[in-house]
Amino acid sequence: MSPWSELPAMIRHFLRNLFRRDRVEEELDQEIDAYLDQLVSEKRAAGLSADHARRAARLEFGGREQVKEQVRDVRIGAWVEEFRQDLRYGIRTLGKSPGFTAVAVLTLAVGIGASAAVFSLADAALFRALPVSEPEDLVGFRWVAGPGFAPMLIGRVSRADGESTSTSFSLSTFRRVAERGQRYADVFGFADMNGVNITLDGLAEFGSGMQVSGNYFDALGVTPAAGRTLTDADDRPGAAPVAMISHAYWQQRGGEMGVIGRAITINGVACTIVGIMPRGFNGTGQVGQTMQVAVPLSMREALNRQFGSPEDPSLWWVLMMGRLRGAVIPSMAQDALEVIFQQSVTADRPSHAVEAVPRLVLFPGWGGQEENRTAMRSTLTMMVLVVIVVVLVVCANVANLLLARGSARGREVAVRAAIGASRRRLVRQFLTEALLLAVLGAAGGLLLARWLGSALVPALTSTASGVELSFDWRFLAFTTLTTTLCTVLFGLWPAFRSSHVPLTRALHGGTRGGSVPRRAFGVSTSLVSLQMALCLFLLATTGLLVSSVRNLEDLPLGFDPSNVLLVGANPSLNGYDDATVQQYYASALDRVRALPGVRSATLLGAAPLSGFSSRSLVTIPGGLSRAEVLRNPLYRALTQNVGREFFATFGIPLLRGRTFDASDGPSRPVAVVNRRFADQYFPDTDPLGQRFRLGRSVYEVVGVVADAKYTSLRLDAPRTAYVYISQPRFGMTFAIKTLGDPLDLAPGVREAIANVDATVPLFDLRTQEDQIAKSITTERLLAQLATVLGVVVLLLSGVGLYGVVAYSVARRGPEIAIRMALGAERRQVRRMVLNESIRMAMAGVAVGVPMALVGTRLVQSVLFGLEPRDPVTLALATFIMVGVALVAAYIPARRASQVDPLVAIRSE
Amino acid sequence: MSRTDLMRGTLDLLILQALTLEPNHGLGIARRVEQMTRDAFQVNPGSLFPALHRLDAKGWLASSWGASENNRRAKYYRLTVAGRRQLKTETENWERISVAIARALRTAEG
Repeated sequence: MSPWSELPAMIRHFLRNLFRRDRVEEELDQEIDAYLDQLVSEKRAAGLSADHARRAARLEFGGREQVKEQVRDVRIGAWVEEFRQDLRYGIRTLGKSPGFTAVAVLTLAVGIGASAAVFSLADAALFRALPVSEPEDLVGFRWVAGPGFAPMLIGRVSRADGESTSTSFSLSTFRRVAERGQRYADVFGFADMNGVNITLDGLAEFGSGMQVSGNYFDALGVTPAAGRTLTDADDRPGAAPVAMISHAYWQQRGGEMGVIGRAITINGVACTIVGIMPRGFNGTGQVGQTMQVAVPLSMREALNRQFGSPEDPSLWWVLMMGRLRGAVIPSMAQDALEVIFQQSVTADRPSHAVEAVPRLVLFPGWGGQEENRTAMRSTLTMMVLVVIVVVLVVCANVANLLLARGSARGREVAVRAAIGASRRRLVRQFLTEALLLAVLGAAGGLLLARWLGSALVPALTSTASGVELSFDWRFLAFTTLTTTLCTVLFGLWPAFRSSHVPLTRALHGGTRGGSVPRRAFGVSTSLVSLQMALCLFLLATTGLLVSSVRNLEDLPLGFDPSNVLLVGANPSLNGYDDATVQQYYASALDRVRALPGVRSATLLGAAPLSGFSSRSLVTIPGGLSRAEVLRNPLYRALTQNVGREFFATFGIPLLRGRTFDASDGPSRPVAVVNRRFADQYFPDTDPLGQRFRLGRSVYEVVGVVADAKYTSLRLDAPRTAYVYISQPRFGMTFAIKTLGDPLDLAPGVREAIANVDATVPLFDLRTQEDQIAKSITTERLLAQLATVLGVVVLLLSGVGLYGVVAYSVARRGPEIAIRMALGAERRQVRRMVLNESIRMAMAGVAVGVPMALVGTRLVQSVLFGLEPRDPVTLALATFIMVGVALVAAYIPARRASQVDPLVAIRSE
Repeated sequence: MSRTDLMRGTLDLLILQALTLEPNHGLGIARRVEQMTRDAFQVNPGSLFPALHRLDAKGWLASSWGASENNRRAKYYRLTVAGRRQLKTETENWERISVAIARALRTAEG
């Protein structure tokens, strides 16, 4: 018989039970009454007196309430009703102890919030696929080459184990791979424009853009939000200049449909807007990168003259990705495309030695380029580690809270069991309460996660401000999972314990509300010790991270970053000729210098510690040949283009010779070098007047300055050659040394420069000190996260220990009272209680120290100036934790010692 | 199948069987079962009431209020069509099982 035939009756009963509950209950009462009535008449008929008959009937019937409860249990939809009751009961009991509820909910909120924030961050940074169709079919390309292969390159290069790798290719190679590799993949190319000047409706802005090949959008399967995408017809020499704008930029500029067909000026070139990219699409670059415009690759020459001729086969600047054709597997495509790639490289540089030909490597392209993702992984691993510790401590803490509470509720449980609640029902009641706490905690956690998540975004990378946190289903699933796990972890066990209390013992037990087996108490103390161990580990990690940040901040820089304002501009993007650009910079500098409160102002290619730097090959006339220099990493030095007042603005002391002055000009290239540069290349001679070659020009050393950091706080000052910018071209940064707070002067500086040419947007206004702080954002945010969570965990562990000791003191009240009545002194009682806590803390130390010794290795990569096993940090962490444990234990210990033996014994 | 399940299934079967001839009220059903099993089963209210409500909820029984033999109000249960069908299936099941078990026990003896 199919169960479906029972359905109508079941539904009818379900609805009736749910909505006519009073009626159903009333009927049950009547039915039982009638039954009893009949039983009585039956007994009477058998010859019993009225009184005897009634008593016999009641005896035979048994517990009326229990029978009713059992009937309720079998009713359809009984669980809904019971859940409603449990919920109501739960809310009432939680409301009766607001302190417990607040602590439990807050604790859970921290655990859930922190884990949800870090997970959503990891999700956004590591696992989010591009918003394109079938992103799993995409592949990216990079080349790997041994030493000696060094094309002129725009993009990132990373070097490891003597090999270098990059994702930039020459235009000719891209064309050959795309054309000859048709059978294997639909290969498309794109390039970052590294900052663009955009003017739409008269408003000039600095933004970012991409140049893309004609098949780009088609291969990605991206459909425009409006208008059309760029096509092969647009990506042709001589085609009319067109552009697509991003959805975000479109929204920001009003979001009207009429924008299609209008003109937008990009780097001085008027383009027609043909379409709007779909929402959330930001190209195929690094994770978190955003952009405003996309233009055809063929416009490279018109838009980015400063980067050299795009057709030059020795200039590598195009990024390549592709969509694999139907049945093609990546290894197959790799083999085939590598041959095409290597043929192309050889064809472009026939004289090149065969062994230097690079290899081609395919990587999964679902997330775009992967360098940022790789870099973020270690940071996120550390965050996840910290969060796991926090979640464990939170669970242990809430378990302890509920356990203590469950024990204290022994009597209530016994009463409920006596009036007919089944064990299952009791367990469910406790679980409902736990779930209620978890839901409240999750709600608080979500709020916390939102805030914490966005606060942590900058920790990932300074360039990916666009990592967008969103609450997608995976994030929600994770939060729900955490919540459920918490509930089961901390709800089930105490519930099981509490419902196990033997009836009579609980009811007869003293005022303590029933007793709990010693075993349960043992679990509590182990939970506390575990918390202490985890806490110690987290404190040690926090200590290491905080010390590292301080070490980094205390490093001597070699220059004075105080009171320096920085701002960028790039007039050459507007298509101005060199003379106009030079005129712009000269006027802007004059106006800035004329401002009151400005001590000096200079141009420079890139600000110190801004992450932008260029390294060049250094050859000394009469020294090693170019081929030898190529193989020797010692012959690479940092080159910085700087203006005349650079050394004064940054307070870099001059050691020998002179700095730049009015006599220096394009006719006679001169350079100021730092001490390391001079020591390396001119060890035995007077560096002044010596010559060296950088690129195409030969420079004469006119001065030697002290070493100053430029590329990274962590690295020593590099060998540096400062080259005088006699004729500024391209983008420059203004550095302005002020008398007072540089930010006070910011509006004035902005206005002064804008007055020269309002169509040149200014960007990245910041102080040099901000710039330095930003260069260690990851380290600082990790340290802050660890500090905040470390303090929380320390508090939680303290509260946990306090709770267990206080509970134990309360439980042992009579015992303590008897001891005191027998002559124990208050001091002895106090010591007895304290000893117990010290044992727990010591167990925590015994587990925590080895845990810290092993676990802190995971943060090694962000540490600076100390080792993961730093003994001072570990000792300090242990000291703090034991200190907090003692304070937490002292309060109940003191209370125990103040027990009045008479009162305590009598109350029992 | 645990022992309680067996017991519950058996009680359900007996209740259905007890109602084949005529509708009856709670105590009547209990007494009828006792009579049918020659007092091998003592049906107490703690198992009778949940069982009646369970069978009612499944649509195998229907209930209505009526007057008892001594003219008191009582809740009468009667077998529905679905209940009759269920009884038939269950009876067949039971017979098959009991024959099988009896045979198994005989084999063990022999």
